[in-house]
Amino acid sequence: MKSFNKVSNLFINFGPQHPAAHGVLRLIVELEGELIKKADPHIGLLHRGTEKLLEYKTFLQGLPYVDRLDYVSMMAQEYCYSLVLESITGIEVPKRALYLRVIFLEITRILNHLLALTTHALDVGAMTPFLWAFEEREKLMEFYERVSGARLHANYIRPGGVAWDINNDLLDDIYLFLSKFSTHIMELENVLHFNRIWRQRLVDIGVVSAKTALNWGFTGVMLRGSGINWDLRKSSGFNNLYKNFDFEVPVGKKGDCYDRFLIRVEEMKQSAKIIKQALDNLPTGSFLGHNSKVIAPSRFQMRQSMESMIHHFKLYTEGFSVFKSKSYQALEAPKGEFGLFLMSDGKSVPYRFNIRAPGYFHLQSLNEMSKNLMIADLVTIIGTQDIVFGEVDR
Amino acid sequence: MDERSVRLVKMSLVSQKKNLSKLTKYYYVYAISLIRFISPLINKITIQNYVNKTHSMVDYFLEISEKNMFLFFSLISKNMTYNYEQLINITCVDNLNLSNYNKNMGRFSLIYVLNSINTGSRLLVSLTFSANTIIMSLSSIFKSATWLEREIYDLFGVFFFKHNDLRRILTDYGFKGFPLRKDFPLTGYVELRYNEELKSVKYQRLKLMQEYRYFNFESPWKQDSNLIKKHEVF
Repeated sequence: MKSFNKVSNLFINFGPQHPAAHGVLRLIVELEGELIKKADPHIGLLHRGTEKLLEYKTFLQGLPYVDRLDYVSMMAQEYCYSLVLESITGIEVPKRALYLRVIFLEITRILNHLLALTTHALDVGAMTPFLWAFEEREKLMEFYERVSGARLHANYIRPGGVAWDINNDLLDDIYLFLSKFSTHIMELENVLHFNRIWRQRLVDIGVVSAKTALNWGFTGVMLRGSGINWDLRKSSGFNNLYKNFDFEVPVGKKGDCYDRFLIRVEEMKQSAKIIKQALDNLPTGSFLGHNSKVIAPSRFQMRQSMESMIHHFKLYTEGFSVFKSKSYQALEAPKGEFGLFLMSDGKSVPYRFNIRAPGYFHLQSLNEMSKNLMIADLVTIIGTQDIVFGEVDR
Repeated sequence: MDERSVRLVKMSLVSQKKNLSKLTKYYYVYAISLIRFISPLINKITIQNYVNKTHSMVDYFLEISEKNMFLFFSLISKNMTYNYEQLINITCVDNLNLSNYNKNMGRFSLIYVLNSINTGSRLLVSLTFSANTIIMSLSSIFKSATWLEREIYDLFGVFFFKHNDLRRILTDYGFKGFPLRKDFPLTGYVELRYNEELKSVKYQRLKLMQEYRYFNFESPWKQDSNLIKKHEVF
């Protein structure tokens, strides 16, 4: 009698408690030997129903919720939330507030890229840059704290401007930080750029062609790595926040993980350049708009007049209502295009809020990007996609 | 839209061109050529522009019906001039609680956001349909639609035809109901608790100490509706 040996592929469960899974990613990986045949991401382990919760909150109460989506680039999301409300209510933002927003959006970008790059390096095996970058992140989060009172979830950028004015000491310290920052990036480059192990792990891994990147809905670094020059900061028309700033958008050639690493490093340098320009040209004046039907009066005004007191009370209890409209606004968050869709039916709470998270689109291509690669490369690809589960699961 | 309404759109756009900034003028010229291209497939176009000192933005809202939908997206994604090659987002809206909701209107609306790298413009396409309609999946045109449609199926219960992997995505394994529908309560129906006797986490029916209070009222404050210049053209 003949005996048959049945051979089948090996299925393994990766995560959700794996340090390289960047949070709570669960992958069902089908392996043939050491080659990946299929990787099926199971997401939703951090699903908090932000979109549903926002439907029951007034517009001002909803702002801290978007902070908690992508918890390493907080202010970018606050800005998008403010943008979508400003587009509907038509509040004008003073120039000083716009510059303050640029400063903190770029600080956020540096914060995010420092984390993204060095945790990626940590996953691949280089531990040292991680420790260095967290020292820098600490300084940046101190700036967050000094301007808003919170290290992480700042709630600083509000509809109509920013929550508090910045003081000159802080501006000096940001300038001092920037003057030393370029040497810190150089250290990071010295360790990684020509590092043989780093290059062996990254070059020609996770190659995405320009056409596929577009079809998958990639944005941000993932799209620019594939050679498409598309940055919402540059493409005017959506918003003109960066109109007066001089900076370059780095674009990759091959579309592999190493290209995306180079782009992230270069973007940090460009961000530093933008912050310097903003510090040099920071206008004086008000930091919050004057539309008293949307923006709460200041503490000083509250002590002076009864009407301001009433305004303040009404705005923080029942909120303001915007009239019936739909709006989709997006901006270049550190990870890609972060967009918010707001539909209002004239009440003080939104009828529908939809969040377009860049990581969601990058993660869905994981199956195709990792096909026929080694299992160790899966970690590299998750790292290069810069995934944070707060925004993927929402 | 028929020939006459297309002409009307063009006329109204041309008349508005005089008092617009240079950038917005460009957008209007673009809109005219776009309308010429896709007019047989769309029902309505709304151009919404927000113009004040800090923002100048234009949104094109197109309304299509589910009959023309697949043809519309395959045309607009592959055309050389317009080339909306990136599907940025799909959103679903449950119309149940809208003040003007009636049964003829359709329970759900899908809103597609398309992006064109060549022209740097963005298109919002909306599609309203009743709850038992099955919508054609776009995953054969745009791969990014795969998870977006899974998410909409998961949260709203909208079905997509010819979608090769229509599983739930964000909710728990074995979840029942469609949480983003307006008739699904915010608190849900079940809660998770660690059961000491069974030594495992178990679902149980939700018990609330106090009924959930909804603070959902129209503010008595008046809103200035002239803030957005909304041109509804037909």
